[in-house]
Amino acid sequence: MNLIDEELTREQFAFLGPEIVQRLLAATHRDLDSWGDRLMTGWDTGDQESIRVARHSIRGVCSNFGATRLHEFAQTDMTSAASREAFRALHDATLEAIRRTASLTVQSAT
Amino acid sequence: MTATHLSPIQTGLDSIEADADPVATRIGLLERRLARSEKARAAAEAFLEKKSRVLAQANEELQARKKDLQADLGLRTRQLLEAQRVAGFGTVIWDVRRRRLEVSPQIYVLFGIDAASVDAVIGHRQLIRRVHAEDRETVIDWLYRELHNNLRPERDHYIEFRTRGRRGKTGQRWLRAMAQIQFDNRGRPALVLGTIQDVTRQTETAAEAAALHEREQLQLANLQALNGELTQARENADRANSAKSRFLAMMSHDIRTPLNGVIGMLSLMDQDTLNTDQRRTLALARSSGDQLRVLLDDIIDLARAEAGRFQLNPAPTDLTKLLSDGASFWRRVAVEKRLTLDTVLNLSHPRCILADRVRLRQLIDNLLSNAIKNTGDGSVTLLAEYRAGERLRVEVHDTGIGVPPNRRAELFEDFGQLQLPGSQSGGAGLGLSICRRIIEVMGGSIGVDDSSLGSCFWFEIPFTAIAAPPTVAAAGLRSLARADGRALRVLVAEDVETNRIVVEGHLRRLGCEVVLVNDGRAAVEAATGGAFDLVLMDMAMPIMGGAEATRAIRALPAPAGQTPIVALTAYTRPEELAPMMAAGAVASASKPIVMADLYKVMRMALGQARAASTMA
Repeated sequence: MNLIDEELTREQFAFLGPEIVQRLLAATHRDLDSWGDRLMTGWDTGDQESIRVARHSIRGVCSNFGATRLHEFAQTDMTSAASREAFRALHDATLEAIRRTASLTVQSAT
Repeated sequence: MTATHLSPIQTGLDSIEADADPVATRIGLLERRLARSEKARAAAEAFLEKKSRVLAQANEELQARKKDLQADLGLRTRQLLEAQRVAGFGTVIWDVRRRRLEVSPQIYVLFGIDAASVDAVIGHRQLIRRVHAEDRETVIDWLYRELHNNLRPERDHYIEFRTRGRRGKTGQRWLRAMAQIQFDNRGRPALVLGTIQDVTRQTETAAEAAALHEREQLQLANLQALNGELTQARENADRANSAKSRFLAMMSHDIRTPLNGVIGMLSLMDQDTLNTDQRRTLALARSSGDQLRVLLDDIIDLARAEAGRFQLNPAPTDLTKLLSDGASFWRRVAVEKRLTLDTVLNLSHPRCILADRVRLRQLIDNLLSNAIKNTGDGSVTLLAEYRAGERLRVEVHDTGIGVPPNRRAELFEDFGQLQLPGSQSGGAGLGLSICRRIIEVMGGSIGVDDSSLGSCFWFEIPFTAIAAPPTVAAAGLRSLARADGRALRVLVAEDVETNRIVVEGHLRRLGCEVVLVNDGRAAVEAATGGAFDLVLMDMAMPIMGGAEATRAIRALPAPAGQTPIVALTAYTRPEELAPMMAAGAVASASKPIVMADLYKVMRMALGQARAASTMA
């Protein structure tokens, strides 16, 4: 399974246009960072409500790009350092895949 | 002249004669009287003779009539007795006051009494002696208690009992006695009129039926007990199976999570810094990881299916594109095996159908993957076409080893793998089993037939054709614009920035003027004075959630309070959407946003609002 649904993401970006895509990439980066941090904080403090809200938001962000792997990973327990490291890696890889697809879409459009 | 007129003359003459010779006159008078008497006597004799003849004739006729009646009575009596014999019943007349019993001949037969051995008058004691010992007391009881003490004119009295058999049970009969009472002028029982009928056959049949019923009840009880045990055993097995499935799913999920990390890490490795061997090792590691991931996905799918939680998410689907994409992906794999993969897609109309794209692609991937795996040389062909009755048929032909007809069903069973010469093993044997379950949920069928050179795996599913999703141009911006031609003002309440931008992008492409807020409270404040045509409201937001904000907006005075609100949510189940709809949302749009869906929902919501406004 790929990190993102490239077909869906390409369609999304092609539809929204370059200007919105630039804003969207920046927002996605911020959102995934922010909600990822809140998820970890939730695990640190044992705040189940924070974990639930963070998971819901990550799921919402990921759904725009078919990023099922990251979304599913966010649903797992992240009590160990290894799992958090894996999440971070997946987070970065997913963002990279989104950026790459955006770049390809813009290139093909121009 | 009449006698009346002559009488005085005759009397005068007689008087003259009497005066002439009193004795002679007297004699003459007597002689005349005598003559008159003789004459009268003769007339009376003639009359009597005539009457005697008439009486004699009448007597003869009566005698003849009596003879006829006696003959008729005899005939009818014989007929009655014959009827009694055939019907197996006899009659009894009991004169209560005289204590005298009269019975028809059939009674002797019924009670097994030799008529010749009986006195002229039979007594009821003789009959009772012939009653079966076990029933005798009951019969006596009935006779004396019922008939003597409880006689009621409106009631028929009856009893059933057995007679004594000749030898053991041989000749034993079941009799049914019925009685009706006639009363005298003082209301006392005068006559008991009774019939006694042979009901041996009916009683035995009823007894047999009762015995049969009892046996059936016993068998039924046994079956129920057995069924209970089987149900219990099945429930135990289901519980064990369910526990196994849950365990498998849980383990798979737990394994998949770190595996995702491993695959993610592998994908991050910079291939440019690796030498050939390392790249090959990396490719192998990624391939193995992907295989493991597919296996875990299959197990989770299987557990989901067994738990009845396989749900479809139908969406507008361009079939030609979906199948072409699938074929393109697998063509690369086919080429590595020096196989060709061709497509024959006759799906020009309709171009779009409602289908679960993910599951449909899963079906195609499974069939193409299997075909390529089991074909050593030649080609694989993907065919698709519409069939009558809105059904889609997809076939994957290969030039592989084929599947013997008697082994085909095994292919679609859980963990069903055929070990055939030339076939490639690998995987858990879940792919086709999951395909079968997906097809079942879709309401279709799946199977395998002979192909010209190998096998033909196929499936057929019903579909719903839909119009192709409108492009922005086709959507008709004007149709979503306000009546005065100005752009629609849409308020979007969404706390996640990424989602806000996506929604904003879609709405701007639809020509809408968009105002974005981050939470429900800000949405209520904006709606209060914003003069919006529509509100898109996320459900889960901080500070104030979507449902609460919707209620608050609905409480605003018109026109703000009447602004149509569309729930914007990743939730799809009715119970999850219920709070928003109860709060006053008129429709819902699913995230991630699909332009065609959003357009459709907005148009519907706006149409409803316009209709309500017109009616008001």
